Amino acid sequence: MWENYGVIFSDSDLKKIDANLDFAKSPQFVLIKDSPVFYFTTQCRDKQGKWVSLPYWVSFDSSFLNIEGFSKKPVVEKGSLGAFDEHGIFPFSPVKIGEDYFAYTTGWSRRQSVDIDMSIGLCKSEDGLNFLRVSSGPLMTSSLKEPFLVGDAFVKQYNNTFYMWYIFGDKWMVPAQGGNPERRYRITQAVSVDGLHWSRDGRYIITVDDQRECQALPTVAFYNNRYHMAFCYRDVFDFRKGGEKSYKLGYASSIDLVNWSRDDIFINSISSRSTWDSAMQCYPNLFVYAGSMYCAYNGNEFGKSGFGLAKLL
Amino acid sequence: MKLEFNKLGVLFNPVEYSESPAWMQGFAQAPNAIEFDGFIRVYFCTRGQPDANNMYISRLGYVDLDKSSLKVMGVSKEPCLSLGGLGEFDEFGTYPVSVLKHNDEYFAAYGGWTRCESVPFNISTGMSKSNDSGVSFKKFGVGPVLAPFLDEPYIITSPKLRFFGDRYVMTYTAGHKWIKDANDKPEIIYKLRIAFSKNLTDWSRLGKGIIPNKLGADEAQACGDIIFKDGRYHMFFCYRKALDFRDNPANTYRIGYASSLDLIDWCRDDALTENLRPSETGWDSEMVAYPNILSVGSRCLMFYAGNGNGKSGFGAAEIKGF
Repeated sequence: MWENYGVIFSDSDLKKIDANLDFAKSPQFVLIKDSPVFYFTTQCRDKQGKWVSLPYWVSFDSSFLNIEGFSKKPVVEKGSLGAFDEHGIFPFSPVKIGEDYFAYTTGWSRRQSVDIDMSIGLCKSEDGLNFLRVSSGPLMTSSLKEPFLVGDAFVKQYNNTFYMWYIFGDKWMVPAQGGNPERRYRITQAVSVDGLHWSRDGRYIITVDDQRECQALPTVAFYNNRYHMAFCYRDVFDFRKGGEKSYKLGYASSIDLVNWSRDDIFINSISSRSTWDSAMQCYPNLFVYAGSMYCAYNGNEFGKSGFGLAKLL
Repeated sequence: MKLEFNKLGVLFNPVEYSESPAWMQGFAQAPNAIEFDGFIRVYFCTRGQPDANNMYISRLGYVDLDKSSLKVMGVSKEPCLSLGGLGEFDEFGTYPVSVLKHNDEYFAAYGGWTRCESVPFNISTGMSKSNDSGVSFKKFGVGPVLAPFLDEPYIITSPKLRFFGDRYVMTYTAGHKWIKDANDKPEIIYKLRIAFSKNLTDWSRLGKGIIPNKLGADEAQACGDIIFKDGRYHMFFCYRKALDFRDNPANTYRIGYASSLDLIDWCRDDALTENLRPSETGWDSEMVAYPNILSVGSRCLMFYAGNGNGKSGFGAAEIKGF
């Protein structure tokens, strides 16, 4: 059973940062000096009228009901001409490593025959609030078995090993009736001893019933002697307007971080099915705070109305 | 010391060859010669007709030359390397390509092209192997083996594949930065780097430039072809100025030289290749580019591209006493 808090960061909260911003997508929790902080990405249109996403943060009190502060400008700016993150960053995933903070970013770069490509970048911070790019190049991009759309990195350190859950695309598919190619991507994982050099095997780890299923935004938390993974999934086509083919939350669990057992029922009841998340639930972020497991996520229209929170009872 | 070059002229230009297939209608770029029984096969990158937007896709072909006269015996009927699928890194061309023959196996490393919005292209390096003795090559996988990385943020291309000692060695070009010319058109500056591998799939990069600049910080460097001779490694490469380099002879490609004892530390000494200047007239009057060395019998041949970086075909020079 989940207790749903509803929207905790709304579009009107976002407009207080900057009235030109829209969407508050992919909330990502990190504890900074005992305060709950959520990183999220928000977007505005560039000169061509295309969206560019960049990361911001907002901090809460321990009840998650009161906003205590927020970043007044993007945490990092978009990348330089020709760089993997020239056209924005979405999502932005911070994690505390020792005394420092790493943030794994997903950089967007526009293409011609298909819309975009994505690669994973790395930023670092000493205080958790001010981040700098480690370099202008990507940490992880296309590789032999992972042809494109390498993104949505989420990193945790368990048993002295770094684990990354992320996605890569394996196929651009053209709708039967014609139109723009749509991407198919799913979840995989990599391991590392330092968070920089990753061992990848190009294998999808979450089972599907439907070959048209896309999976995104994996997030993992250790709670009650089990590793819990949430993610979102949708159809390759016709997923933008809500309903059956739009994003829903999925779930899998593991006891060894190798084998994952899918069981979406565990997370199905999270949605309050109220106005803000009736047609879509996406971009989940699992975390443990004060002894409880929480899931922050977005609702209808990919986060147009902000992000919400639920607590596992 | 200066090397003496005896220019042999243009050896192949698909425009002037009567049996060029439809995909081989212009350009013979980045020549790469391999000795076979009875002939020399020179792989090169070529193009068919441009599309409606005047965009080309570069493909790998070869021409077989008589071993002594270097006269054309025939060309490949089909492209040797397939293009990638929708959205893959090599969807829009394979250029340049480096073919290595090692223990009777043939491998080809290649730059795979994708098209972008703000800059014209991005390039990553793929790997392939031939199962028919160098007629066609099958890719190792759907993605690249060497792609942009933290300190190599942009294009990864111009591979030159060799095997020395117990490992594969690949020089390549890493994009250093995109700059805009007077017409606001983005151009890429690139520098030579080197990587090592036991299996051609997993590469260990040195992680720094190996050739010091001669034309200032914005010099572009490509095509580092290495041979081992007389106890040291010799590298021939090409370099140019950052902008207006396509047909302005003051800025176009020249061929440089560096040597090394360990493949890591290189000493640049372009005096050795100073005698390989563009000709007064003809196919290589505007530039000399993309060198490739092949020793055949007692001759040491350098294959290279001329004007338009291969638009006028490729030719060769014999390096005397080398």
